[in-house]
Amino acid sequence: MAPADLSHLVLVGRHGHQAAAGRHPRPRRHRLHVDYARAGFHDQKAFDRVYGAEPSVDQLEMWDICREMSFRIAWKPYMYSQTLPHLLGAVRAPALVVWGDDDKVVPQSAGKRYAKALPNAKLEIVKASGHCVDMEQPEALAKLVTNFIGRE
Amino acid sequence: MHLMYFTEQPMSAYSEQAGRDFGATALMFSNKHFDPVAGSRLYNNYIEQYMLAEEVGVDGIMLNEHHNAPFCMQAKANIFAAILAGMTKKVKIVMLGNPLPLAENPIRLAEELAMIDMISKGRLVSGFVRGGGQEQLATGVNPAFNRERFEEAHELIVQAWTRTGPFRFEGTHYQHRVVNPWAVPLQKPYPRVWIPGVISKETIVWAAQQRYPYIALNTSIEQTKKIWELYDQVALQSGYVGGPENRGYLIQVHVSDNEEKAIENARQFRWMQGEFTGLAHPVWSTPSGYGSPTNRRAFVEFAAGRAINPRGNTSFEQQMADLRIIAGTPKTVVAKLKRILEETRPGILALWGNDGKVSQEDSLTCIRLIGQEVFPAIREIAKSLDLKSPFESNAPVHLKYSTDLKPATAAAE
Repeated sequence: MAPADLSHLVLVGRHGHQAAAGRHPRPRRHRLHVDYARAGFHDQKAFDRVYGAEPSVDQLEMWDICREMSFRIAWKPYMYSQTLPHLLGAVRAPALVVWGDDDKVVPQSAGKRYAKALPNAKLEIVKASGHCVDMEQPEALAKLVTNFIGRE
Repeated sequence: MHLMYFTEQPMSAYSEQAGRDFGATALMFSNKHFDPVAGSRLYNNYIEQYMLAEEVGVDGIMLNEHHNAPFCMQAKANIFAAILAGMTKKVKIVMLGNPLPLAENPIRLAEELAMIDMISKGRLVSGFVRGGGQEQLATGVNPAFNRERFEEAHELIVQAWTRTGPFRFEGTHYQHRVVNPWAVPLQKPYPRVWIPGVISKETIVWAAQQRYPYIALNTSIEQTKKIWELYDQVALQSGYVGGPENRGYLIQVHVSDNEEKAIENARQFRWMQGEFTGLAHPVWSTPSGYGSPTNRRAFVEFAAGRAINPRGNTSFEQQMADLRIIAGTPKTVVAKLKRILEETRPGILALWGNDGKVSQEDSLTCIRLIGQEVFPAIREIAKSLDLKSPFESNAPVHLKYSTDLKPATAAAE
């Protein structure tokens, strides 16, 4: 890591931390692509607005490619790093950690762990949002980020 | 011709209704339904079947391996191969096969297989497979690297068997500072390797490039012919002419002393809810990265319920009509197998004799009739069709041991 390179750090619903004990979401590899994508939204109408009620085959194919890539780079341990917790303490930049209040993919406990491990971090919970905060509540996220960058 | 007996070793002692209610019988169907008392009885039944198979003169016993699988109790093929190495005297122990990508340490596999070969006094045929999609998930192995791991593990095992140690191996997926196993195979250069598969083009091409026999698993006559067409094309490019010694075929065949009982028992080939490897959710049987990129689109359509299963799901009656399942008395069975041999011309034939809840008594009758009546007739037919096994034609173990290679154009002529 290069602590001096970042002026601000924003993490949104981020994988990387091992899920809190007792709460392991059902892994994506066991779910249909569209089911996993839908699980990222609090309001299914928001999913429909982004992807359509019946996503195209092109989209399904793209999700499969993305899933394959996530397997290639993050298979074991699955979507978390055992070394990351030991490195977070060295981050110098102020950090904004954003989580959807209805994140079924990465539990809020992971967000709390990030906020605790980063030396200068604030956790913000976005209401009525699933894992995909940027797609479901883009204005709320944009406001948080611009305020964060402006303030710091 | 090399003639083998096979059973999936089904764990048939669980509630079929529970499996149907759950909607799957592979990977995620809870092992609370696995009764080790029944498991113990069944394992010993299968040993009795294998011993009878040797007694009645089959050439080989085919073994396989699956995980989290009610349809197959062989969670480790090497275990049964070791048992047969010690208990049998004559049969080839044909492993079809060890799922190489599941091995975190292929050197250990190389050691185990070498031990089996030595203990059996050189009767091992060491087949290798990629393993099914759900196998990757069951064992925590990355499906996206399946094919790479398969090929690299194969390379490492062959080196462990043939290269003088100690040496170092630094691959993409396997890194070993010291390769120096004190267990090497009795057979030289190494035990024959056969490659089973269904329709994966890449596996057929790879097998042909190695000059390893490809064993088509219960494919239709038309599919099988297409497999040989591709294999033979690659064989020519590699400098040799493909023939029966490169071809194997597994088919579901139940033999009984009367037709009605044979057909009734043959229905048990469909006890796994009609699926060849148990019923599984599509994303379990084909996890992302496992399948061929050219099949990705068809797969996602099927997984989303927008297309039919590319593997098909034909009825029992249709499978009987298509000769995918054969059932009857020895006379009926031989006549139908003759057609398969004439159409597909393999030098290796495996009869998958029993499945599901077929009783031990009927299973043993099937084996007895296969060994004493069906196989002798098949041997005569094979002779008349000149269908020689790799042993009979003294085929090279691998392409690099060939003495008959020609440049691609000369081979084609």
